[in-house]
Amino acid sequence: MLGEVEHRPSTTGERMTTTTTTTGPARTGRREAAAVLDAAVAIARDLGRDDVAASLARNGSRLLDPGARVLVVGDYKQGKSSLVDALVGADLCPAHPDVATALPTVVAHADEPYTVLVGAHGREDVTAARLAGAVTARDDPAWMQAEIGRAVPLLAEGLTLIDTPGAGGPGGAPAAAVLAELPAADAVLLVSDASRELAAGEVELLRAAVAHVATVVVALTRTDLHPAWREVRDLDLALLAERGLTVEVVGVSAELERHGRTRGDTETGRELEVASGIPALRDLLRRRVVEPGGRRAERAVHRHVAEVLGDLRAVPVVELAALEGPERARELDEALAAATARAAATKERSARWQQTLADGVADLTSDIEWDLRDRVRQVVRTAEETLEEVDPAQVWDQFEPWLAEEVGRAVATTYLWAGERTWWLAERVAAHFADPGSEPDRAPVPAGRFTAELSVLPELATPDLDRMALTQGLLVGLRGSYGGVLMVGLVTTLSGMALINPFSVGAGVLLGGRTLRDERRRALRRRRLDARRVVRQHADEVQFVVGKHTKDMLREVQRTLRDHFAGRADEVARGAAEAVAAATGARDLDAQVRRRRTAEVRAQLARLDDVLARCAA
Amino acid sequence: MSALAGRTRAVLDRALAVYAADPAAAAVLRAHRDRLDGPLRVALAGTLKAGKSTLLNALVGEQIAPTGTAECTRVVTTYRDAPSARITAIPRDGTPPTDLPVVHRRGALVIDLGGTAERLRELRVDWPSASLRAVHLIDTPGADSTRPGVAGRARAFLSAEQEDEDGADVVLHLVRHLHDADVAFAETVGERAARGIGPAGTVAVLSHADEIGGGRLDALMTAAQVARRYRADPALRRHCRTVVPVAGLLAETARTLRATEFAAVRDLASTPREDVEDLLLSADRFLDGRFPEALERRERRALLDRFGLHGLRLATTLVRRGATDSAGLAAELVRRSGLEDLRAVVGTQLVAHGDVFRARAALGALGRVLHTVPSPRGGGDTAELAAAVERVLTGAHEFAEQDALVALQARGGPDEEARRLLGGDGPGATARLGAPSDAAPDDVRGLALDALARWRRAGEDPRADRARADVARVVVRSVEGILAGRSGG
Repeated sequence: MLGEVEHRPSTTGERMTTTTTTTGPARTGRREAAAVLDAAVAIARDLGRDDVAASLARNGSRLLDPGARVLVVGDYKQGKSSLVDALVGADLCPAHPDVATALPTVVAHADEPYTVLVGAHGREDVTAARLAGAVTARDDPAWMQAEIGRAVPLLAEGLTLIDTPGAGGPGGAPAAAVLAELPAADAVLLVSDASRELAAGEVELLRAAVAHVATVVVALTRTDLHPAWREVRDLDLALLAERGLTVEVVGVSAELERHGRTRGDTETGRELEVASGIPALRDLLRRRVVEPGGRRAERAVHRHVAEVLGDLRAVPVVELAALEGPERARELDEALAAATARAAATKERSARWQQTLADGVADLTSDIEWDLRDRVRQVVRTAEETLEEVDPAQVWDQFEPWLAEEVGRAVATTYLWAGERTWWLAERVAAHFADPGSEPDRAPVPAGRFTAELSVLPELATPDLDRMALTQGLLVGLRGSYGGVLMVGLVTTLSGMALINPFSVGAGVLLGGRTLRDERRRALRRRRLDARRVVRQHADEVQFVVGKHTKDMLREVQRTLRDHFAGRADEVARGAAEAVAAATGARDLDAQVRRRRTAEVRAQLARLDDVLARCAA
Repeated sequence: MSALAGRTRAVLDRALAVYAADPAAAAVLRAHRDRLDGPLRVALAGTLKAGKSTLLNALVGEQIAPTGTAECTRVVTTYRDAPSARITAIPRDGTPPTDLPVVHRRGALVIDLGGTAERLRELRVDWPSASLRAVHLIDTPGADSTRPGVAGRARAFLSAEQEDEDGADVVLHLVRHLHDADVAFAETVGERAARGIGPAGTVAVLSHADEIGGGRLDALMTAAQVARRYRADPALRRHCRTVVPVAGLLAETARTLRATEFAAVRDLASTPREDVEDLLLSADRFLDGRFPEALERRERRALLDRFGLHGLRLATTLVRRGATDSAGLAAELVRRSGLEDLRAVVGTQLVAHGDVFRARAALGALGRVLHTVPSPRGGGDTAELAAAVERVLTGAHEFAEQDALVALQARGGPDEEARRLLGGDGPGATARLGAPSDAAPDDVRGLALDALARWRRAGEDPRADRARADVARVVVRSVEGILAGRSGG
C-alpha cells in the first residue's frame, strides 16, 4: 500500500519501544513445517518405503530453503553500501566517500563468519582491507563478486542482501547487470538520495523491477542531512502513483543508525536508532519478504507431504481391511480397486505429461533462440547505422562500452523472459498430476532461477583503426605526385624543357593532393567496414555462447522435471502393487499374529492421519 | 575589441549582406554580431537538483533564481544586468513576449509562471547587479527530469537544436559525482562542440561538495581532494577544462547572510559543544530540539533550508572559533564554500577569454546557417563564406591556445608555466609571464625573451613526445604574440 510505512522519529511522542527482533509467525511456521516433514519421512521409512522417504527429505529441504534475496540497486553514490551495513547493523560493505562500489557483494547468514572474493580463477578468503581494495578500487578486474557471511539477526531469519554497483542513470534504460539479477530476486530495494525527487532512470528501473519482482521498495537515504525528505517522499509517491507503480517509499539514515549503534543501549542510542528509520525498514522487509516467503514455504511443504502421504495411506488401509476379515471384504475390494485405478491413471497421465514436457522444451528452445536473435539483430542494426555516420577511429572508445551494455541488456532481457516461460511450463507439467481444480504441487519446479551470466559473454575485438600516419600520408601523396611529375614532365620534355619544370611540379602537387584525399576517403571506408565486421562477428559469438548456455539450462530443467515426475509415477505404481501384496499377505496370517499386526497397522494409520491433519490445518 | 572579434564581425557582416532577404537567418546572425562585444553568456547545466539555481544565486549574491525541494527551474531562464528589474516571458509559438510581475517574498524573487511553463521558450530576468555586468547567467532545467518535455528543453538548449539566437557561449556543468550517470549527460558535450563550446568552454563543478562523505566537518577538504583526483584523470579531457568543488548552498547563504540568521547561529554556538553536536546529528533532531529555547520550529526549518546541516555544523564551529560578526562569518563561509575559487576560474579562464568563446559560438552558428539555409542569392556565396569561416577558425591563434590549455590539463602533470603562458591566468602580457601587473615594459620583454628561448628548445627537444612538442609550439607562438604586443585581452 502506498505510503503505508510512515515512521515518525521521536517528534510526535509515540515512541517505538521495541527495537528487538520480531520472531513473528514466519519462523514458528517454518519450524512446524520442518516437524511435519520429519514425521512424514519417519512414517515412509516405517512403511518400508525408503525411496519415498529420500525424495520427501530432498524436496522438503529445498522447499524450506528461505533464500529471500533482496537486491539493493540504485544510481551511483546514493548510499547503497551504507544502507546494507545499517540494515545488518555492522560495518561490512566497503564504502568510500567518492569511489563507487564496482563489485556486487552478497551478504548472507553464516554461523562461521567468512569474507570471500569470487572470480574466474576460484574463491579466496580475504581480509577486510583486501575486500575494500577489490570492491571499491577494483584493483583486480578478474574478481566477479564478493561474498560476506555473518551471524546477525536479520540475516539469520533467511534474508540475503545483494549490494550492486550503481545503475539507472539518466540514460533511461536500466543496466544489464541489474536486469540479469532480477529473476533471482524476491525483493528490490531502490536506494535514492533524499535530496531530490526520483530521476527518469530510477523510474525506469522501478518499472522493470515491478514487472518481475513481487516486492519493490524505495529507500530514501541520508534523511539526516535533508530536512525536506518528507516532501521529497510525497513527491515521489505522487509521481509513482501517476505512473501506476505500486511501490513503498521509506526514509532512512544509515549515518544515524551508525551513531545509534556506537552509543549502544543508551537512551540516545535507542532514540537515534529509531529515528534512523532502519528498524522500520527491517520490519518492512520481514513483513513483506521474510514472512510471506516463510508462509509460502510452509504451504508448499504441507501440500507436498499431503500428496505423498495420501498415496502411502492406501497400503495400511488395504492391509487393515484384509486383516479384519471377511466381513470387510467389500471395503477391501474398493480400496484395492482405488489403488489400482490411481496407478493406472498415473500411467495414463505419464504419457501426457511427458508429451507436454517434450513439446514445451522444444518450443521454448526455438522461441528463446529467436528472441535472442531478434534482440541482438536490433542492436547490430543500430550499431551499424551509428558507424555509418562517424569515424570509428574517433568514437571507438565510447562505442565499445555502449555496444557491450546494449548487448548485455538484450541478453539479460532474453533470460528474464526465458525464466518466466520455464516456470510456466513446469507448472503446466505439474498440473497433470494435480486433481482438477486444486493447486499444483510446486515441489518439482527448480526454484525458477534462470539468471543470465553476463560474465561469460565474449569480449569485443578491436578493429583495425590505424589512422593514416604522417609518413604514410606523405608516401601516398608522393606516389601520386611522382606520377604527375613524370607524366607532365615527359610530355613537356618533348618541348625541350627539363623533366622537373614548373608545369610538371604543378601537376605533381595537384595529383599528389588528390591521391592523398582519395586515400583518406578509402581509409575511412575501410575502417567502417572493418568495424562493422567486428560488430557482426561479436553478435555471432554472443548468440553462440548464449545459445549454448540457455540450451544447457533448459536441458537441466527438463532433466529435473522428468526425474521428479517419473519418480512420482513410480512411487504411485509401487504403492498400488504393495497394497495388493499387503492384502494377500494379511489373509494367510494366524490369529495371534493377525491381532498384533492389526494393532501395528492401526497405530501406523493413526500417525499418518495425524500428520495429514497437521498438513490440512 | 580584439583582432579575433574584428575578423569574426567582418565575416558576419558579409554573411548578413548575403542573407538580408531571409529574416530568420538574418536574425540569428545579427544576434551573434551584436553579442560579440556583450557579456559572456554562461549557462548552468546539470542533472535534476544539481544546485544550478542555488549556485546562480551564490554567484550573483542575491536570491533571484527560485530554489526549493521540488523541481524549480522548468524553463530556460536568462539573468542579465539592467537599470531596473523586469521579467519577460517569451512564448514558444512566436506570440509577443509578456511581462511578469516582479514580486519579492522574504528577500527572494518570486517568479510565478502559473502553469504556463509548457508554452514558454525562455524567460528573461533583468536585474540590477554588478555581478551580472560581465556575464549573463543562464539557468537550465534538469536534464533527467521525469516531467515530459522539461528534460528535452534542457537538452535542446545545450545542443544545437535550439534556435541559434539565444545559445550559451560557455557552460558550467554541475555534477554531484563524476560517474557514468553524469557522463551520459556529458554526451551533449559533443553536441555542444558543434556550437563551439566544447571541453574548452566547459567547467565541471562538484556542486554539493558539502555532502560528500556524509556532510562531516571535513567534507569540503574531502571534496577538494576528489576534485584534484578528477583533474588528474585524462578521461576528463573530453568533457571539461577543469573541475572545481563548491558548496553551493553554503555559498548562497554566506553571500546573502542576514543579521537574524547570524544571531541564531551565535545563540546556537553559545550552548555547550557536545549538546550542539548532539542536536546537529540529523535535521529532524535539530527541528525537534529543545534548545535554544527562543528558536521556533519554523525558524529552525528556515535555518536548515538556508545552511544545510553541514553548513550549521560549520557555522557554529566558526563562531566558536572567533567569528564575532555577521560579515566575518559570511566571509569565512564564502572562503570555505569554494565560491571564490569558482569565481576566479570563471574570471581568468572564461570571461578573460570571452572574445574567443563568443567568436567560436558566432562562427559555429554561421556555419550551421550556411549548412542548412540556402543563400537567397545563389550557391557561390555560401561556399565563399564557408571558406572565410574556416580561415578565421584556423588562422586565429586564440583557438589553438584554448585547445592547448585543455590538452595540457589532460596530461596530468601540472605544467604551471605553459598554462600561464597560454593565458590560463588571464590573457594580459604580465599575467602570462607571471610578472606584477605594473612591471616595467623592459622587464616584461626580458621575461618574454627568456620564455621564448626556453620553449623553443622544449619544442625541439628530441626526447619530447608529440603532444608535448605540439603544446610547446603553441606556447612559442603565444610568447611571440606577447613580444609583438598582440596580447592584451
